[in-house]
Amino acid sequence: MSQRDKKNQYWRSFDEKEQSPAFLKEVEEEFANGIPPGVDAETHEPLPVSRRDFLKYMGFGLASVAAACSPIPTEKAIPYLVQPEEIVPGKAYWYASTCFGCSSACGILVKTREGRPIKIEGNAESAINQGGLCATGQASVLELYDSGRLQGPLDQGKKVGWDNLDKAVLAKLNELQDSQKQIVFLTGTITSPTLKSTIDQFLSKYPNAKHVVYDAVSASGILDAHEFIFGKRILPHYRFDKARTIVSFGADFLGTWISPVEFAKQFSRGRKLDQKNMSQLYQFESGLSLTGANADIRVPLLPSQIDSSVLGLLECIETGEIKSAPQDNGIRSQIKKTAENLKKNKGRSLVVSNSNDIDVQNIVVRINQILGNYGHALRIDQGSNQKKGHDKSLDRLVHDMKNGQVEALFIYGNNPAYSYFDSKSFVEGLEKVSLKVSLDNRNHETAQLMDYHAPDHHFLESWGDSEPVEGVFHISQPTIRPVYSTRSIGESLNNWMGIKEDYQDTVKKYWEDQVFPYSGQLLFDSFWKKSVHDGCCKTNQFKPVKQRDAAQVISESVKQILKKSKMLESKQGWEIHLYESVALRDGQSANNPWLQELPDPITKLTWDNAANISSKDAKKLNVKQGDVIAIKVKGRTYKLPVVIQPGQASGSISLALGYGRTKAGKVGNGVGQNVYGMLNGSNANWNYYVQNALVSTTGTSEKLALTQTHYSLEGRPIFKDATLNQYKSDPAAGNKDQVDLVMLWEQHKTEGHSWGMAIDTNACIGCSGCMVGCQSENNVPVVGKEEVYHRREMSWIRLDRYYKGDEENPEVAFQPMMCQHCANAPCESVCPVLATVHSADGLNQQVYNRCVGTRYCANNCPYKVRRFNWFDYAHNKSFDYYMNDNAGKLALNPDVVVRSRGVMEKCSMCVQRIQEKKLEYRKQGKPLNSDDIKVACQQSCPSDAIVFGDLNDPKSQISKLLHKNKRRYQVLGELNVKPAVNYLTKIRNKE
Amino acid sequence: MNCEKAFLEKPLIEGNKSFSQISDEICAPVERKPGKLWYISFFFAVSALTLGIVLVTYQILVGIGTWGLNKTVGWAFDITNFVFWVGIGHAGTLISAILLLFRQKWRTSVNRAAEAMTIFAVMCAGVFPIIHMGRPWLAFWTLPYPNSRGPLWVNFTSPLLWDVFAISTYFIISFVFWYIGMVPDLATLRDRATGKVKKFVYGLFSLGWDGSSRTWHRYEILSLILAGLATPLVVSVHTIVSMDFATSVIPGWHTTIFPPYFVCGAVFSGFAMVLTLMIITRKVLSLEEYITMKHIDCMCKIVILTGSIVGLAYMTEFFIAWYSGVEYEQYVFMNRAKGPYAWAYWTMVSCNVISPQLLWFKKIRSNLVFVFMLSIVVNIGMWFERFVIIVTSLHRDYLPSSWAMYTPTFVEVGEFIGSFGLFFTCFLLFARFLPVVNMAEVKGVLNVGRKTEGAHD
Repeated sequence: MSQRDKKNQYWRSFDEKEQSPAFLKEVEEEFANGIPPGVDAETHEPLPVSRRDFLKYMGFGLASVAAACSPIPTEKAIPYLVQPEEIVPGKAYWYASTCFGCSSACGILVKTREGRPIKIEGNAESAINQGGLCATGQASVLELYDSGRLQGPLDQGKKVGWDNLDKAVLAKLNELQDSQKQIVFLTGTITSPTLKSTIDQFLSKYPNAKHVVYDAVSASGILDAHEFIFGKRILPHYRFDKARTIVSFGADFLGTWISPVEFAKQFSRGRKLDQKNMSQLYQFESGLSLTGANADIRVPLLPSQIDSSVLGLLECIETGEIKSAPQDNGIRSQIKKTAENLKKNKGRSLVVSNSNDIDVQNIVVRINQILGNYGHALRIDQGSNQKKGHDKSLDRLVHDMKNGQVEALFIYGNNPAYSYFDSKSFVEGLEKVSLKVSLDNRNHETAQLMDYHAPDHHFLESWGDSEPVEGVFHISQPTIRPVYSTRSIGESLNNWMGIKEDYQDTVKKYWEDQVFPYSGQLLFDSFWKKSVHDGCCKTNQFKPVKQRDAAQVISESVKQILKKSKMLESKQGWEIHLYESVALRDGQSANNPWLQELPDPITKLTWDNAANISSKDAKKLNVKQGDVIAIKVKGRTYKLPVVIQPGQASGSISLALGYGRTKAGKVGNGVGQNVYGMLNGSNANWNYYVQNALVSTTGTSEKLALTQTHYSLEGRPIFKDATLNQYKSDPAAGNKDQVDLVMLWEQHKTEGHSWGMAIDTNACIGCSGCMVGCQSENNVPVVGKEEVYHRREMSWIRLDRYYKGDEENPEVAFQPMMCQHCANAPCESVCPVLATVHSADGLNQQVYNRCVGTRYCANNCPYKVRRFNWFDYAHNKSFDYYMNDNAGKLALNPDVVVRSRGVMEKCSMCVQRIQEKKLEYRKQGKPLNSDDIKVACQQSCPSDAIVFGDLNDPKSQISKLLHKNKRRYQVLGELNVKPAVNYLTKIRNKE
Repeated sequence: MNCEKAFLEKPLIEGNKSFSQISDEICAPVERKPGKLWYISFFFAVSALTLGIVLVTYQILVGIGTWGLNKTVGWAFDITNFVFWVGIGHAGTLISAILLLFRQKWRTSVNRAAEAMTIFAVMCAGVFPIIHMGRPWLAFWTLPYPNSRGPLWVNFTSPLLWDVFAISTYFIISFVFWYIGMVPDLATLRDRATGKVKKFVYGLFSLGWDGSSRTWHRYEILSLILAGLATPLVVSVHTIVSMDFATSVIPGWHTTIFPPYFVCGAVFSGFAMVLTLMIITRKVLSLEEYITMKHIDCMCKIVILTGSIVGLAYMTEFFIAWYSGVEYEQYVFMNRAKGPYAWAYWTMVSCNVISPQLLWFKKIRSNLVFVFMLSIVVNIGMWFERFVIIVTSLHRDYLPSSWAMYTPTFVEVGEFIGSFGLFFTCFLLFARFLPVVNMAEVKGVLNVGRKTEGAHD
């Protein structure tokens, strides 16, 4: 500005006149105090309205003015008139309860959001499952919202009110008051003491009434043997953690047998490497089971050879010589080794068998007696209630029904028209019964034949209790108001007995009278409150059983077994082994899409059951994977596709039960084949091993929805293992090639936390519970058989299963695989739109909203853990599993977004759980204890194989576990992608 | 001396043409009504294009699930087609830019059609990366521009983003080059046009060309500049496309040899496609005297050269896989040759490595039917090369648990056919409305005024 200009200029202040530097600076800025930022300069708190927000509100205002011109669609969103006291939107509440997914009756915690249960987790306080939970149990939450459940009482198939139903049933019952004919209550195993006593009370009013208990997959043989020897029909309570040597004849105790979660927990405790002795597991079986896959020594043999092998083991333990066991395949030498080991560990061993033959079980009792295991690894003074079925009594019932001796039949918790081997007779007999009442909440194969339906609540809707093991009690409490117009079975029975009592009070009264006195507590009220809060309690009740030496009474059993094995030797044909699959178990949950899509841990097959045969036999039959074979048993032909299964005993075929439901619901109908009819059950307990099957090829083949089609590791150092002796001499055994690679550039720094994971493959048993846990937590869609066949399953975590060595009897490896959250993630650098980025605390994040779906990230992922939404899986009629269903959608976790078509997704390390705990701690003003965060897969793991935590915190569990751990390795570490997931080598307790 | 030269070097344009004759002959297809053959071809091309459009619409409405991809194989037909078409697009720029700089005069009669082919091929190529997206309606998110989404910026480390730049640059430069080169010819058409509409349209696009020495001067300069700009693109486009694979961690993709290997492959397939098209065009439009056997011969020689380089690259890949000692790498290559997709691999080798070697024989080079068939074989082979690289590397990578097979669906095959529909529809329209040979440049290579025997006075 020239002098002349200055003179002519008006000035407003002295500063301006002088053109002081401070003034000039001020003038330069448009706003006197700078642009108003979104945060307060001093407190750093966001201002109520920032400039950006202002624009947003403005835009919204304009838009709403515009929108007001058209009618606003009315939606039924009614605000709470009175805000329920306990419900805070956005906050999860947990209730302790009991799982009734199977008869193990595990303790659970139910997560509810806005008044609806959305996830089931194991209750760590429970003495049974101690925190873990199986796939079936976790998936049972979905059944609550199953629109295929009965939605109200039915009279001859017509919808009626509860009053009318009660009237009709009571009228019928009154007619029967003096009938000498039988009134039968047919149930599955009932672990609830209150319900048991209510049923007893109900039946006591009738002169000739009885309660028949029937398990589709029965343990009658064990119960009968104990009755025969000890005089009490009891199932021992097994303690696998107390045994150093475990021998199992066909019992898949880690997968399906009696109480798998509990046993897996116990087993994994016995396999810890930091203790003196790691337990050793011997498995004698025909088809490769989950337990067999975890066995240190597995002996594949034909079903017909198992019985004589049990006897051979007894002989070997008693005399050191084997007379009876089969000669071939070195079975005898294996039995000898087993016997030696057992003898070394007297009192610290356990022999179990899944045989339903009382003779075999007698021998097993004898072996355990000789070894002094009673009172240690198996107890009968505090026995188990988890299997109560009595095969004979159902056979008798069917016989009586056919003879017209049964007047009334109530069914609950079972489905004999589907699962009884002679279902035809059952159905015929049923026609002669005049009063047929079903209390099941599903209109399944048997229920369809009933006249009256008084549907029970789902267990998450009702009060109840259970006593899975004597002295261990669980409470079950409602976590939601009944979704449909159902009524708890206890209440139905109370009503029919004329007792006007809430079932909650019945339970409470039972506890006051029968549980509380043994609890050692002073006040019932506080005891009750505590029990309901904890979900469980223990009493010090012992019911001692008189010990009797089995030696004197088993000679007949020995003769029987010898006779049978002689008979079998001469017979020709194939042998069939029927087993429960890990996902569907006995078939009760067949309408559950999570379970249908859960790959079998061994075969990796979904949505089907198949004939598992050995590769030798496949060659013999000239069939390949997927070819359909016809199996002829007892005059009936079953057509099933072939799965070539390593480890399958040649000459045997394994078939999964629980499939082929016809009235399960929209999901489960017509999936697979029902093979219950193959069971042998004419004069003894039902036998799950069948001989003399004829097999022929059909020339057709079927699509198999397998999630993994390649078995071999191809010699790649992906899974690392060593034997126990190798490990003892060098903890780094099997893990020598682990090297730290140099980085060419500076490493990314994680600030604060650095989330990571450790997976102990030595603990992982491959049960796949984590897969359902993840699915439930993260709203992972179900895609159906066709899509799984196209290799498009959506699971964020999978269990890779590899075989090593001999195809006839391979070593099996399980490796949980999910996003590895690599520090140098190959997926991140290739995304053109930054839809996958790294967080400051070490997570590889997928931003669904940004994703345009190029799939480049998935291609570049060395672990292939990214999942693409090929279709819309929610609100899509083509995927009518649960996300297309108004009821089913209620099972979704509101904390996790439902992904739309065309975006990539993957494991987020349950970031919503991390965030929840972070907030919780921040509110309390405490530093975060990362061990408090439990990601879904970790939480559900019954063997504690997964540890999650902060790698930057030296005190965290994960840091302690990984610190200088010689077993630590990273899968594909040589790529230098620096995964945040670490694996620990598997140690096998064998030579 | 002159006689000798005439004997040694055949004239580039045969038949002792005069300038006006050239104008007449080349403008003829544009000025007369198209023949039956054109209509039939156009019908088929448009049908294929319609099929493609219907299938793309269906696929966008329903989802990428209508393709045969899976969790392991995330790309297959889509990116194979993309790389295939980009590769085809290579010859045009190579001919117009590099051969211009190297003063290869024979290029003048083929460059127009080759450039047109480039542009249409790049258009076909561009379709696939867009429709292969899970949410193609958001494809514009790959463009870096200030926006209100956060702002959501693009990821400059992603080779896919480089593709966006490379392909769009390539398309723009090629298009401008092609168009600018066409301006004098458009002016010729304008001057010859009889109808009012024609005159107006050609007039509009000829940008007021007046044929003055100033316009010619500017035109020459601009051509040189554009050639200079386009030359690096010949190398860069396919280099960048190859980096989609080379920068990844997947064995079979993670290879430093990819850039030169891809560029040669692209030139190889591009020239094969030029041969295919030229052999038809010269026949149908009776341009045998413009696109002579010498042109065919030259292009065949380039096909031998690049085909051999591609063959060498295949061998080098195998050698390096063995030499690296990386078992994953070794497996991928053994799997290519012996695995479930071995048929595709051996199709590729026989089409790309073995068949071009036949062109060493002069007899074969001068047999049009044979060259035509060979050019198609090479293109099939080059399509399979990309398929082999993409699918066989993905379907069996690191963790055997995820190994899977890929089978295309009807939708994918149909969309591939649709891309041919798009290409030929465009090319047929081009042949109908624009001069397929660069009249101006062809006139420049006539031996007018040089007084050699057999030339004009």
